[in-house]
Amino acid sequence: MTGNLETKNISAAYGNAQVLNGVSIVARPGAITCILGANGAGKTSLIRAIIGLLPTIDGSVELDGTPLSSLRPHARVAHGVGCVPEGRKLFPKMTVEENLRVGAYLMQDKQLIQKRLTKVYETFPRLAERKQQFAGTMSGGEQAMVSIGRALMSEPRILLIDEPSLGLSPALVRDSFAIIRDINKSGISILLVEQNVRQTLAIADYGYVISQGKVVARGTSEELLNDEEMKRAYFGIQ
Amino acid sequence: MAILFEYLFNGAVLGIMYALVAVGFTLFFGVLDIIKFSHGDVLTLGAFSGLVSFLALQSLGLDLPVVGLVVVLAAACIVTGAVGALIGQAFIIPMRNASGFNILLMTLMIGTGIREAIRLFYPNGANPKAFPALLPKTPIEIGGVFFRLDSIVLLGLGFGVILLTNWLIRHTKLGLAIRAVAQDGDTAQAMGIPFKTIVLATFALGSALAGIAGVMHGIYYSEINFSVGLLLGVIGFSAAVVGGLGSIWGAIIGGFTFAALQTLWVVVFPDASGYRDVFAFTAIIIAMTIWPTGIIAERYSERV
Ligand SMILES: Nc1ncnc2c1ncn2[C@@H]1O[C@H](COP(=O)(O)OP(=O)(O)O)[C@@H](O)[C@H]1O
Ligand SMILES: [Mg+2]
Repeated sequence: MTGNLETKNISAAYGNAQVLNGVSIVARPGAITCILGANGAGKTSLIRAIIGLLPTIDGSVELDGTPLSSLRPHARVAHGVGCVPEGRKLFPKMTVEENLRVGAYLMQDKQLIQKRLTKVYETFPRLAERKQQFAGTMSGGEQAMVSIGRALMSEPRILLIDEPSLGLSPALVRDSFAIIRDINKSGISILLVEQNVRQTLAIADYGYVISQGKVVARGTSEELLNDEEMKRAYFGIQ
Repeated sequence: MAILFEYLFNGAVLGIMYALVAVGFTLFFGVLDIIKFSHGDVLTLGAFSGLVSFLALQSLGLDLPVVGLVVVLAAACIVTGAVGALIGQAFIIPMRNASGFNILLMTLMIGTGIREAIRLFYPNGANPKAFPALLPKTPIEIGGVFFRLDSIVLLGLGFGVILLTNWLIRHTKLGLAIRAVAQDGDTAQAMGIPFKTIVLATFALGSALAGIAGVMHGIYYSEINFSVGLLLGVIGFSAAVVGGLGSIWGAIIGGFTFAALQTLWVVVFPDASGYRDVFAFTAIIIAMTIWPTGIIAERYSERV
């Protein structure tokens, strides 16, 4: 199985402010791995470092043994890294279908692109009805679907998902967690960033807790759920 | 009445040239949020490349009517496209995180460098050069109004190029990538779009449009000089700003607005036509104080 992502001791900074201090994580093939942590802990920065948008000062990123660190973001996508960024980040003035096609930019085979489109529309029938609508005019839940669909267009081996529940109603949050599990069942490894501890641990196999740019706890979902210290320190759950 | 139609027609020919220049400014601003002030001088370079290619054809005895036009346009596009991309590669991309003022200043200097190089190194470069009449100037009468055949062809050519550019941006994979980079460069990269390649392709495209405008300008006025791009660059930039610096259509509307202002002045004061640019720029300054974000504000436009 493929989709084994490892970061080894990565550090990164915005100017003088260091946001990642030697983070090492492993996302196993076929598993859902989650990154938990309070606001400002560095979760999004970690995702940006993995995709290549935030330059690392130190450390390395590998996918299935291939070093990615020297590659530009688009080349990392070509190697099988897919991304659902924080806040969806759709192209608001493009139609739904154009957004999806951006996700397939690296694919040359038109038939294959059509096949992927059909697959995404099967997964999200709502999007099929709204192909020609501008993405910026859609509801939060629909935008979440487009963002996930767009990432799936490149047939990633691992999908990085940054706070999918952000701004969604509880019902939509449940839906999106169910969709993430389905995607994972189809054979794609998942690295899921969340603040929503209980629901995340309910679907994740393994998790890391980060704080101030460092891994402060790790373990299986059960281990983390029962880690009283971790709960008190980072999530205020009594 | 007939004379009015002629003025309007000539205004439209100028408008389409300005629009071609303005679309370049809009594209560059779209993908990188920069003002590339070397754009006008790249246009001059295009006109001179066209001239040189024509002289080369002539010396080979191949200066046939249609072939001449095609070769001159191709030469202008290739040279301006390459130089535009080169400026992006060598100067703008490495400075991408510098302040906008630095880039503005730097591209202003590059433009000056190009302009001075043409003046100094082109044989007798300080003087105007006759531009070949690549199209017949035959007058054509339509309903009592006389139009010059070359102007009609230029107008059609300009519209054709604009429509082609629009089609490229809206309906091709390259266009999709350009729009993605313009709307959100980071996300575009994270979706697999090669940022640098697309930015350079955009510079090449916008610059080639200026090359075409340079050749059109040469044909229309039958001459070029080393500083044609200076005024055309400022006009194109004004047109892009008037259009909101946001969309291709805004740039086109801006180009025609500027030409309309010039034409208006000439119609009202035919004896003082030399002041048409002063009038047009003044009108634009006043318009900017009323609509500070351009006639078509960015929030209503598509950003390329
Ligand atoms: N573009 C940026 N420039 C400077 N500092 C930033 C930037 N983005 C994030 N930060 C800072 O980096 C730290 C980590 O942010 P982030 O990775 O977004 O955390 P999280 O996703 O866990 O909420 C925060 O202190 C934040 O203020
Ligand atoms: Mg975040």
